[in-house]
Amino acid sequence: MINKPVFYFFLLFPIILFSQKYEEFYSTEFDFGKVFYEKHHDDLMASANRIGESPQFLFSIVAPEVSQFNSIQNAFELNSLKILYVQGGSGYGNFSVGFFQMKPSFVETLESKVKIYKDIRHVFSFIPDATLNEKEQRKMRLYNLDSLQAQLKYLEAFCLILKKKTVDIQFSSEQDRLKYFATAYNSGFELNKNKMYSMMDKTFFPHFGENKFNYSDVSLEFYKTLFTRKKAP
Amino acid sequence: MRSYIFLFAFLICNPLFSQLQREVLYRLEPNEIVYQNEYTALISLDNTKKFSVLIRDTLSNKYRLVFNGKTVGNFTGNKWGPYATIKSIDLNKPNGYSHITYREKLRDRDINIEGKKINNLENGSFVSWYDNDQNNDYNYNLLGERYLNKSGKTYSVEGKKQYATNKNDILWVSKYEYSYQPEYNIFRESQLYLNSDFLGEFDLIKSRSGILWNVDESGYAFCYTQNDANYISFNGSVSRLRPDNRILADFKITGNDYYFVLDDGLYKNDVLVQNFNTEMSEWAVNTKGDILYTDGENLYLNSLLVEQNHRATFIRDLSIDNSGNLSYTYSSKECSHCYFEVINQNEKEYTSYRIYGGAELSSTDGNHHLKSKWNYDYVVIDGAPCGNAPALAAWYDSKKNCFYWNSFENNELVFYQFKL
Repeated sequence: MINKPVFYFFLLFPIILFSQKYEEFYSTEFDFGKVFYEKHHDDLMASANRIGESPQFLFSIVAPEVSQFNSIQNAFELNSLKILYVQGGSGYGNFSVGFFQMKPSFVETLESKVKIYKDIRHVFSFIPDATLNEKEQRKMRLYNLDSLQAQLKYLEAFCLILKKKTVDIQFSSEQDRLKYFATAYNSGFELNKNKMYSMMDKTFFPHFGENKFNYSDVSLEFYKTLFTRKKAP
Repeated sequence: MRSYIFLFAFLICNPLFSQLQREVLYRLEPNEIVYQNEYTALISLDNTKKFSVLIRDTLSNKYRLVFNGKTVGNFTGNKWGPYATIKSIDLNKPNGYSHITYREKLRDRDINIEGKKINNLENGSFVSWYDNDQNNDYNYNLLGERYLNKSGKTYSVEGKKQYATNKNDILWVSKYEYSYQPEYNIFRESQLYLNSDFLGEFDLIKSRSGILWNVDESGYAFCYTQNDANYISFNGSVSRLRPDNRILADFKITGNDYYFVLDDGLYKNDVLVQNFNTEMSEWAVNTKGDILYTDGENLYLNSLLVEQNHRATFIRDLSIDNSGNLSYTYSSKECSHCYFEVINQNEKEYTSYRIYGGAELSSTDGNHHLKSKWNYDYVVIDGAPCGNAPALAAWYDSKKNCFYWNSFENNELVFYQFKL
């Protein structure tokens, strides 16, 4: 009978041999992500501390989006999408904004969850005032999304809510947990566990790119790189 | 209610009111929305009330393409989008739209290129990913083999991993190993062919602009690397490239010559032939060696200023043929989201498929100004507010001395005209 390590080696051999790294195809983008992490390390650390995570874990969830931010040429186009969202309503909220590429529809869902989980509600004062009319609330949401500080707050809220939703899941490792969180960030945190794991086989990222990767694999690549990086002198 | 009375009073009292005309181009039904995806809103507008928009029925998830007021295409889909790719909108053509529709059996697709329909084409797909260009080239399968339709001409691309075409010729590789380098990439052990002739096995070089190869009326050429040195082959005649990887970043092959840019100017076959007397942003050459270049606002041919376009903000897409005919594209200060294509001095205006949202324009004499931002529910003309929503797109018409813009107000697509 073949022993388990040998069996798994042969099972994984083709993957080990042929798997290509995001960093190889998107070196400029990968470097941009790493530089972003260094530049905003203090803010990321503060956010991570508030929710009991490491800054590497927190950043790796959004790192693929950050890395591609420079390549997305939608600065002008984005304004037209903002106009449709403000004037037309939540049906027009499916577009991405800012370094973390958060969608207004994602943020609306997040806000509704924060309202449900009362124990985290007090932390998030950035949620648009319910006394404002809906149009003004949508504008406020877009102002927030243009700010890195507010995006970090939304990311904190996302992590806290997902922690509550995954409290019964036994993750095999911190890396497994990261892949779950990254998939939830990219594919939607309302997906069930089975769907979430099935999304980890899908290679759609980046949207504008010849070579496609799984989003959570890219997150993990960042995570490993950030943990092994040498500390700046 | 009080705000409406105020608005009405403001409009009546405002001397600008009589100059302002408002017209509803399209009114959405309660269950309809304009389709927008992650990166673009599928809506196109111009200053003559022409428009195109893709509408989604949120109840049935059915989509329809409205082109200049008429529904010209119906598509099934889901909440994320239609089972179709729609692109190449040109409001000035009678059938200025193209789309590939996916059937229930997703492999079978119906193609419509500006009104010309081809049904049941297996695995049909547009070559270009971009929905706002006018590139209608497409791929498809017949009897299990892959074909390319490029500018109306058909090429068999079965088994061709990478290829370049020119009229009847196709330069292609059957297989290669991809290898990443810091400055450029190598297609190692590429099996290279011209049409059906095997040219050999080479480590081809790929820069950011693509594989460094060319096929034209002079024949074929390609760059490759061997034993840490780079070479170029023109129809089988090989010469070594200078040992400087920077030259591969901005490198072009034209006819029997190669060109590249270094800090001091443009080199032709390793000889400096053009010092740029300005901040060069783009260049082009013909096979006779004429050099066309721009700094974005002016156009130079062999160092001589040939076009000084005060309207231009971004000259690009340069080309020059062997008869000296020039073509280029430019954006204008007078239109927030249109562009102009000049071919042999004939100019044509295009409306970009993408709308930009917001605007900042001036009249030609510089005395009148229009400004709009996404987060303010009006447009400002010469310091006074107009309309009820920001501009999706805006224009200045010098002949009629008018500002035009489009807005999206209460589920209505609206056209405004303001006579100066």
